[in-house]
Amino acid sequence: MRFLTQRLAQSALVIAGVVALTFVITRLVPGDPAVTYAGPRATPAQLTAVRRQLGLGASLPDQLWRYVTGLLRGDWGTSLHTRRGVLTDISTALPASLELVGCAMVLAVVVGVPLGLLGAHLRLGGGRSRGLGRWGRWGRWGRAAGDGSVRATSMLAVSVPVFLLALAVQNLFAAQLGWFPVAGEYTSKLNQTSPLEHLTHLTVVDALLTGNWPVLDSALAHLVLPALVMAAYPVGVVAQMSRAALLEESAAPHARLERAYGFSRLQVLTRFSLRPASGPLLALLALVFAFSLVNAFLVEEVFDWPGLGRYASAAITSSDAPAIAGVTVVVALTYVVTNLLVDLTQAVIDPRVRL
Amino acid sequence: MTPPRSSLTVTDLKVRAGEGEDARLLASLPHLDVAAGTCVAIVGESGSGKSTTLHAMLGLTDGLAVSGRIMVGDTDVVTAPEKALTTLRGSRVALVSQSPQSSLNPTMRLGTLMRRVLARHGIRGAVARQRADDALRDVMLDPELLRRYPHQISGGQAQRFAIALAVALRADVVLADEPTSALDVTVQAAVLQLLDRLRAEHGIALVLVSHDLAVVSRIADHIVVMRHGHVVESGPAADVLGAPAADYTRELLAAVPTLGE
Repeated sequence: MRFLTQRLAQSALVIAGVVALTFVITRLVPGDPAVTYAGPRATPAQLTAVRRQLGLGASLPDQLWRYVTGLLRGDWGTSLHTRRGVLTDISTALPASLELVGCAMVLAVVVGVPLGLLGAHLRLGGGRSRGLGRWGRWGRWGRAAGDGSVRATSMLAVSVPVFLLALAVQNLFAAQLGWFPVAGEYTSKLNQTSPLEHLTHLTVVDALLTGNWPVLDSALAHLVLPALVMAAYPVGVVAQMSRAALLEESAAPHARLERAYGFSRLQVLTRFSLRPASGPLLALLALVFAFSLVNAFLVEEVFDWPGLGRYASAAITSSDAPAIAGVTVVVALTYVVTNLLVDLTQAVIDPRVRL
Repeated sequence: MTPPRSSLTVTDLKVRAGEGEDARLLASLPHLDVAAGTCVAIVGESGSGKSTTLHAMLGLTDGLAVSGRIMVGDTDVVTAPEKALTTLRGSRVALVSQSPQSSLNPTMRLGTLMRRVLARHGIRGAVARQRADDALRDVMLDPELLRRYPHQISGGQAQRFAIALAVALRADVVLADEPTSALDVTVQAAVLQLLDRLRAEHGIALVLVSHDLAVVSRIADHIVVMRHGHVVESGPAADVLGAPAADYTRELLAAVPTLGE
């Protein structure tokens, strides 16, 4: 329990720090927010009115106080470029990003872990059968090549810059081959024929919940390419790490005992090593999650995805301080919450971890 | 009384690392016969090949070249296919390893491990529960321990539990790899007594590997002394301890601390 309270206090401190930092940074952004808001042809009288409306006249501590209490009340200020509440903007943009990041994380676990398992198994001499001659079923070189290609693939997935991959994939599969739509979240024409009712702002989920099949169909087709691009790095990292963690576990004394009690190499890997290895993997997933949220900024630009990244880059190019601050706070919050969740799950997975 | 059946017979065993001319001999054991209900000790310093020999008896020498014959009943561990070996390991030949606590899976309750190990050899349900309870009673552990994780029990309890696994599976041959070296002196004596009692009561063929002649002198019927992969001396415990033939054995004996000197 003490650990949990400590972690909660730490998280609160991190959030407070981020809030203070965003406040300071937004005051340092070049340009006068009032001018941005009121437009280039505003009269001095209008500017003064806007300054008062945006609370720019007050002293800095006063502004900070108003900013913090505003955040807590859900008043995150007004975006200068969309003219809507920042929180409203974020509540539609964040789910779109989470859709991409969520797909990437699911693929990271569903594809990355089995890949790592395969690599570790081949590395340990799995698939060898003494009955079938000197080289066995896979053959020594077959096993080495199998493990090697798992490693090479994951290395490649990790090291290709995500924007490059996004452009390449978009060009090949959407523009050249036409297998998938080029950009967007779903075909906007559908807004007239079968308008989507927003419940969670996760398009796929909303379409599924309201039974809006045309939108679901279109949304899934639009999701494939950006989700795959987003998944490349997580899948690669998770494959590499799970391979390494499983190899380490299978060299642990407990693995020898398990083999001595009649379990095969593969059984030791899947039934006995996966769980002790998942502690470090989970910590990695939290990091990858945060990293993917940032990667989404680039992928969303390429695929014209209405997510947090595109919102942020529009905010940055128009010196939209409240929006930039809002996005920063949301990213920090997501990061802190993810880490807390990981700590909690780790305690469930590994009995040695105490909360 | 029935004549003692031979549970484990080793003939011309050689374990090598590498192939061809570069091959390095890790362990060689010309002959060893372990009858049911007897204890054979393999003694030597680290690197003498005693643990390698033990692992060869389980067919767990990954990447090493093994020649000769290791007969467990009528199965030859050296030539048997992997599938036959996975059935043999645990049910016929069981291992009690050096570091009891780290040898138990840290994320698994003892009861789960026991259940999985029994299920691996086709023992499930009420029979499995009965076997587990009996085995724990046999090694004098509270069945309540099954609900604990390895880090919640002591080293001695962990070693007793490891022995209970072998008892629950009714293994004919128990291979104990330095079973006491990680334990306190008082706990060492208790674990040795336990192994000795189980050998007598269940007719287990016990192979005890140790670097410590003092440990093996208490329970071994036959002692094999190994050095640099070769057998230096082999004979009944009384002879080896009382009138050692090899200089190396005398050195080992001299290293054993005795009381009152």
